[in-house]
Amino acid sequence: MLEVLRYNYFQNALMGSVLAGIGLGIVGVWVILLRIPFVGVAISHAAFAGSVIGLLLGVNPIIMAIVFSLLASILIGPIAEKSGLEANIIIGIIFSLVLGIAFLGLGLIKGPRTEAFNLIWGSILTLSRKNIFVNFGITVFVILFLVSFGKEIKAVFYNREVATSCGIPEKFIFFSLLFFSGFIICLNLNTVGGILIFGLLINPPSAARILTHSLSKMYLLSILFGILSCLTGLLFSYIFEVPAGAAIIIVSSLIFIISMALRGRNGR
Amino acid sequence: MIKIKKVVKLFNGKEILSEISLDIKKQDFVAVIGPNGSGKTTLLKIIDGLIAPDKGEVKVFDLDPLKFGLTVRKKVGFIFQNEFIPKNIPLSVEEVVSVGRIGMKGLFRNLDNEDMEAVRRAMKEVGVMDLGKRPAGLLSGGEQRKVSIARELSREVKILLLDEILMNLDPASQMEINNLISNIYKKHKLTIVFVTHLLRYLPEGINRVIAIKDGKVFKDFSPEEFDISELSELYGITREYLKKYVGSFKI
Repeated sequence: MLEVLRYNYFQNALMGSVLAGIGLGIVGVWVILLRIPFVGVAISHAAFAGSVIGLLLGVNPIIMAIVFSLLASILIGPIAEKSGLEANIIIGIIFSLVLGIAFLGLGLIKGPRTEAFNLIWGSILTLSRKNIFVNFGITVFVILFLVSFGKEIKAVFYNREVATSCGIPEKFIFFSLLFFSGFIICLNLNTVGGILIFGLLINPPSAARILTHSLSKMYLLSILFGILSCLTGLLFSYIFEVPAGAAIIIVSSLIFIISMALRGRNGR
Repeated sequence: MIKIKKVVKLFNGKEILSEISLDIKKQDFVAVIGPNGSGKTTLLKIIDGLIAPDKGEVKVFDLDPLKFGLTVRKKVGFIFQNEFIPKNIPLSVEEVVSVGRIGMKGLFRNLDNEDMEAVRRAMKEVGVMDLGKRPAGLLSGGEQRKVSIARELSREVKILLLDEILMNLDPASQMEINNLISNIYKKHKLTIVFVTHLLRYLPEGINRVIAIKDGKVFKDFSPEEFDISELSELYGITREYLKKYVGSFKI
């Protein structure tokens, strides 16, 4: 079994798993505490719409996927601000819009559509070394952002209006959190796919929250559970020859269930 | 300290504030009363520079709170209407109170001993010192309100804007918070603007009551100048009903 570690594709998959666990573990805490869990669904489908449009226009679908998902994550905050509606409602509107664009594009594509669907189903074993480097760079950037603005992020989680009145640049922090969440979600679409990424975004931080009342411990546990889900899922997928994305999400759900049981036992 | 001159604020074409003018002096302890939708919260947010007036002039410490928002807000505390701590937030009471110091500190600088000392002093003053390590989301309504007061006290502000902070509290908690605000006023010599509907429960020390109706100052008076006819006109209800509701203005 260890033989498989010699293969480049599996090494990339392992590194991709660790990076996905770290990146999604961090932004998962953000979306849970900002109470906008469906941002993952909207952004992953924006990436899908982008790749479809890319195929249609003959532009690199991955680049278009990144452009669309970043655009979606950048727009959520200002539209919510301007319309006076909750960010969750804007996420729903963006989700329906990008889905409409994606289906329209699919109807217009003449050739094969596999490349666009790859983002929806995910294919961790096809990650390239270049993917890993880009993922690594952005993950490091997200960690630096977290370390630099940790106390301001904490204040935004508590209450955005209070944060502003206390003299904290709340809009900059909130919009940056949305932007980086979008970036990390988009970069990790290959790991588990656009539909299943929701599980990897929500399950690890939720399991972590159940086990701790401390924000720093929540980050650490969320990252740990994210990495554990990806690596264990990858292992199961190799042993039982099942799709990696599905195995990763089932493991992350099991971690959540175990956390619930542990909390029950500790009476918390 | 707070000067508002002919301020107009429109929302969806409707005038929420109509050429309102006010002058709140240093160490004034002002109750702002008036019907729902009369513009009380909008007025507080304009003072704090959180929303822009459509017309008119606002000066807080002789500065425009919109242009000098960060400078003004360092000296102005605000407790919002229906402010609550999210149940699932993984922060302790002490961490929530310390949010008050974060904006004062500025970016890229961690809270130091001096900040944490101010946080603990504020927590002790409002009586939540023993709750410091508790998860903030699990506090009762009254405790949450005290935590908000501690947060603003820790900032050592000069003006305190309090927007219906007695809402959803039982009478005992309302009395406790009122006493707390009165003591804070006496001890710290702050300027306090206290928006309320609970005319029966005005905190001790209030020296001025400003009644707002339809975005204008309806009457600016001292608590002793209570006139049931004018209040009946302010709220558009009968004097008999008002007598039952208000009781006495005497504090």
